Amino acid sequence: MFMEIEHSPQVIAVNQISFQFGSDFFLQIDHFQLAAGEVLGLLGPNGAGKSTFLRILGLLLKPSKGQVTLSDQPVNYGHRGLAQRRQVTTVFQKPILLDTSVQTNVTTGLKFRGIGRRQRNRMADHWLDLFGITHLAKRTARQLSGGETRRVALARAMVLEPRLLLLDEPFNDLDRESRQELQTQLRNVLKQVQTAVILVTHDLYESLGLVDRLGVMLHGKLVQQGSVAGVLDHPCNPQVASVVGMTNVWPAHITQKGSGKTCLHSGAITLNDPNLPGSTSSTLKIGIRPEKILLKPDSSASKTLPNQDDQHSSSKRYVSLQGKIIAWEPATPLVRIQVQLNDNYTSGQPCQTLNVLDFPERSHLNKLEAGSLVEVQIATKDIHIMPDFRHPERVSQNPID
Amino acid sequence: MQPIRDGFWEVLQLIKNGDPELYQATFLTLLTSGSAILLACIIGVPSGILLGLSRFPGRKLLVTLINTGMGFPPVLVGLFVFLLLYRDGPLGNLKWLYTPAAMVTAQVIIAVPLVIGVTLAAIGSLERDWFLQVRSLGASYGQTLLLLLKETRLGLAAAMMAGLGRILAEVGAVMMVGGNLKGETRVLTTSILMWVQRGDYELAIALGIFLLGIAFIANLCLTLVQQRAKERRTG
Repeated sequence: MFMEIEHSPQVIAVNQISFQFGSDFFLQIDHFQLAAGEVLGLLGPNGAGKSTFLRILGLLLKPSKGQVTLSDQPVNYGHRGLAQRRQVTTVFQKPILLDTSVQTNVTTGLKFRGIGRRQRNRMADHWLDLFGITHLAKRTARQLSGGETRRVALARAMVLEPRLLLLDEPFNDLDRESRQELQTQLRNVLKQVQTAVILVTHDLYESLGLVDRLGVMLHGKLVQQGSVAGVLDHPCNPQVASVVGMTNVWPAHITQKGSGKTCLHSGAITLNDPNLPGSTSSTLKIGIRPEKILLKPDSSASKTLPNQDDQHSSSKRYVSLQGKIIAWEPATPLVRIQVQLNDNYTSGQPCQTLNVLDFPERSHLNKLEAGSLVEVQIATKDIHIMPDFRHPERVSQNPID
Repeated sequence: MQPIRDGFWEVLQLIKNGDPELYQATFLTLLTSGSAILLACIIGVPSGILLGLSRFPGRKLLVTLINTGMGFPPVLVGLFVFLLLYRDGPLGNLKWLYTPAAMVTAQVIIAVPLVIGVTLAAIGSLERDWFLQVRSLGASYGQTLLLLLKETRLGLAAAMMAGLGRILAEVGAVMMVGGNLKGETRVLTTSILMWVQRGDYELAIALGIFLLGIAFIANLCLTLVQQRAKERRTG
């Protein structure tokens, strides 16, 4: 885990907080901070503690231990904390609209803050317009569709001009079309403000266009945070890898060659002189992102390139493998292809199945379909080596495959 | 069916003649029931809100007790209040027995569990995270409470209607603690009971029709309020 040093003003910071809920839920965050204008995507499987963490950040839940600071001020959870609480707002996973008109819903928070009716309505109109729901202003909030409800909830939050905005699965159970529309609207809206945003999601791809930074939670802990590319390409352990969509993860082992050279094996994949992570005492795993794998028609069949030469010239930078496509299915807008690798090693490992994401056009062009033989190319730099981490308390419940 | 037909005739006669007994009983009915439902709401609504929001050991037991109280036999309440206010009872010094105050006391005790129960249901019908949502919009405690009353207004009106219905129909308890004293504690229900016992069924029916009319008008008013709230919601 590494931290980035922030230079812009810090909006919220937590230090060594923990929160216990019953006997089997425990949240512990050692250090976390967010600067003005920053958008962080918080990923993690269900039950990882994302929503609880969000409630702590939303000042709605007091941690059992540790301190939360808002703009460098320790948070007060009593009556006197109202002014602090009013700097933060949360849009919940299932936004609850008040039993009144859309306009009143959007202006209620402003009314709480003692803002006059005329100004309230003017501010509400502005945000209703930005989310494209001006026509709903007089409608009853409880009769809206899912997408409309989300937009009203977002407008109701944004109208408060919060310093910190927390979005809990804002695109959950929306159909594809309204999801994309809302993502675009939200991206445009967030560009215009200096609000720090935390976007909780369990769907990685929906958040990528919106966030500057990613954090990954597992078992009540923030296990990794960093730049989007850093987290996606270099997950710190196999569980994080599975959360961030690195679907090809296999155990690997090291063999020592003569003259001090090391060699890493994982089924059909062999790497010479790999860059091993710091501590090599634990067992290792390798991970490859599905979209970083290049599939070509089997070159021995197409005879376009001399296989031997290709192997030789790219021996440092590419790993070339042979395999057979066993499944081909659309995963809009991409296609998901499963390739069973020919196991050149008689290592006793079961045959590896490679998950590949490809563009449909390219896959059609290359005549890739179930049953065809393919050559698989993976850049050496795209093979990520990580220690095989298991959460000490949860080993039995969460076996890593 | 003869008494019912005669009853209709009788009630018109009574209204036309401005029968003092009818008007006195009606006035007392409105006075006791009205103040009782107001008091019951003043006690029951905040209690229901408090109980709906708090979590403590024994809460389930308390809720069960209240639900039982919703169907508690009024006669037993009457007996309890009677023993409370009896000359040698713990509150005997108040000298409330056989006064409207005693009747109101009994009616409040009868209606409070009902008001609490219905209020509890109204609070329970709010979404689980309603309070978090309102808090995250920056509401203070007072603002949260006001909004809560506004959001549950339909349920609260229902609580009032349920309580009032039970109080208006109540006879056993008010008979026991009020004593059906003419001009003092004789209300429409006790009056009906008395005329039935005396064999004047026409008069009893006439008073019954009048009582029904009052209940109808009271509920009509509350329903209209409820409807308007609903219309504002959907309009």
